[in-house]
Amino acid sequence: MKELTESLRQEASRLLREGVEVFIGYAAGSLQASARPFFATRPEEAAELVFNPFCVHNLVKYLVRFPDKRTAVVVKGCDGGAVSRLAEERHLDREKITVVGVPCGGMLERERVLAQLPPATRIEAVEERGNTYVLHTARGEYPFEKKANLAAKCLVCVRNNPVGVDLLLGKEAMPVADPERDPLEGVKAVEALPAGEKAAFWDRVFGRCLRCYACREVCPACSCTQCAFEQAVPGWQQGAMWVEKAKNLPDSYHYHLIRAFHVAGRCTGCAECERVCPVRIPLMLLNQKLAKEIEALFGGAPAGACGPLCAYAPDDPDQFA
Amino acid sequence: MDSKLLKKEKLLPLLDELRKEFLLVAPVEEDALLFYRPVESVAEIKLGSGRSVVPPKEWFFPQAESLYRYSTEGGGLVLEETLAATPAVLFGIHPCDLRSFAVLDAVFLQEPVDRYYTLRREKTVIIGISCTAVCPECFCSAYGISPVEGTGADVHLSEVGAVYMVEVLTPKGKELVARYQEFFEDQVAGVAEAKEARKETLSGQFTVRVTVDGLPAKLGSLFDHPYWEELSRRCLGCGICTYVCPTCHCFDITDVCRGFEGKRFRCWDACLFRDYTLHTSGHNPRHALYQRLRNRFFHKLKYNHDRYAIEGCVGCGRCVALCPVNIDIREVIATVRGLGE
Repeated sequence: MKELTESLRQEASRLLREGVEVFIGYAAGSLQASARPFFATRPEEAAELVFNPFCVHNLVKYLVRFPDKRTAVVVKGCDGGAVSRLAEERHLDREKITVVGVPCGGMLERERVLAQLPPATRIEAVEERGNTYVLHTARGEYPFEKKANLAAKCLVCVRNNPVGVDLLLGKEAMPVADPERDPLEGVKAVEALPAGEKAAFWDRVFGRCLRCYACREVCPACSCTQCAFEQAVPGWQQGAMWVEKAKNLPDSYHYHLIRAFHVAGRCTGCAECERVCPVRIPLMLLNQKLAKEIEALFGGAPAGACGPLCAYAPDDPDQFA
Repeated sequence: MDSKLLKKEKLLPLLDELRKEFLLVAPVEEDALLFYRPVESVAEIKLGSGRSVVPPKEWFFPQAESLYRYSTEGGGLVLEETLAATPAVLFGIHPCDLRSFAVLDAVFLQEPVDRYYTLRREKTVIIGISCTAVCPECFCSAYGISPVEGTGADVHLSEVGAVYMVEVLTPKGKELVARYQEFFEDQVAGVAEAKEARKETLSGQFTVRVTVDGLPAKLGSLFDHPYWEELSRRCLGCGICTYVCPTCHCFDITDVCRGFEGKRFRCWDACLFRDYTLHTSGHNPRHALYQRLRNRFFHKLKYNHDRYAIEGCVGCGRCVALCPVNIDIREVIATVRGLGE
């Protein structure tokens, strides 16, 4: 992956010299097998950029923090959709953004890597050998077969090569999706549960929600400047609080279901909500379920870049309300 | 200090006896995550090392807590206090979290004491447990905490071979051990030495050495440093770091009212949230994310020390492990110490 990182640094340096004010990419993280979002503002800072199978973050949401700046952003195939979605919704001025696409052979599940690497082993280089990532360390090479070690979302990914980008780096990535794996396996498993068990499942996972709102903050579809759940009007003012600030099960249900409906049809499937959750709530089950229902209801309908829920046609046979 | 032995196979029977007399709060596993929760059966308890996601502070300072109920039915005002605490045993607390109780005590037990916190604190017996492994994010040694130290517990257990060395550290602990004396045995030679040896081994396992000397004073000169803005660029502004922090103690007070009935409760707040310290006027003294993030680090690394003479961080590593964008307090400390003024 050395070549990809090299060309990323070169292009970033060039863009920063040519007028891009902020280049949003990845740098090495402080923890073993990690990366972090990185913001280069000077050409020499481009030397810190990396791309490897730990660059799991979707960086697109950061673009809305720089409305007046000329920006560039690194996107993988699964992140790219968020740029067009946010531009379509006029949260981003696409003209000001250089979208730099990187082909992606899948992201490694960090926990699986840590379980197999000896502690405190520094990863010196990552090599992609077909269906395997090889981590080079001072203690030798550690191969990680993709099929057994990629993040769940990557095992069913068919967007390995980003589309709609301004600049595409590296070589075309080979698809990694396991054709035998049903992307909706998890959703179907929950759907198949008897009502009581289904309720117990959601009670359990929502019951441990901390309401830290990391899922909202990271989500590129959660683009409201003020969230409906953030209107701090206390009860004595008879204000409309959608959820109590206190953590409790009904309000955690309320929060997650409303959030899922707000992003329905707009979720681009990056699964960042699920990755950031400190208590591992399987939020993609909700997002995938809604995507599945939308597909079943409107799958055949012509839709613009904004998706079927935003499409409007005067000859629509159904009433608006 | 009194010292006893507890055979490993007697731990669960002891906890089972305690469970009959006290509300037993212990580490339990749910979907491979650890939480401290009241248990109904000792079979639910997850023994061994490992860090809970949410620190045990929530036992003394719950994430949401009702303060009182009120009713204005018929034009009057009736207040009903909801102060209650059951005698409890809090089992399986690691040294970093034991220290965190001292940090919280400094805040909640200062005059006027917080009655809700105090009552729970008084009615709870804490059984600490030494670590048997060091996580890659741990750095408690920076704060002079040893992974086998029981300070802050009433009774502290350290696994040594087939037994636990039992340190009886407070009058509360003494009372507990006396009451359940049939479970304990006399200390034998070699156990204390083995515990010390464990301390040595674990001390060598910290992956990152952190030095905090002179940090509060140094930070004082860096309030306006551009570093905070730079650091905040990747911060999501979520509440993970504060909610998993064993010493964060900011709370918000809100009313919920339905018709003539209502309740006032307090719940954890997070300085990274946009509405943190938002004034009624709409003014927010920390309107930008970098100001809120800076507040978090100043509170951990300076304010707490200046106000209460105790460090506001215990080096548990939870925020390091769980920050989705790798804001690593150990790195912040090292960077800050190296910054020019």
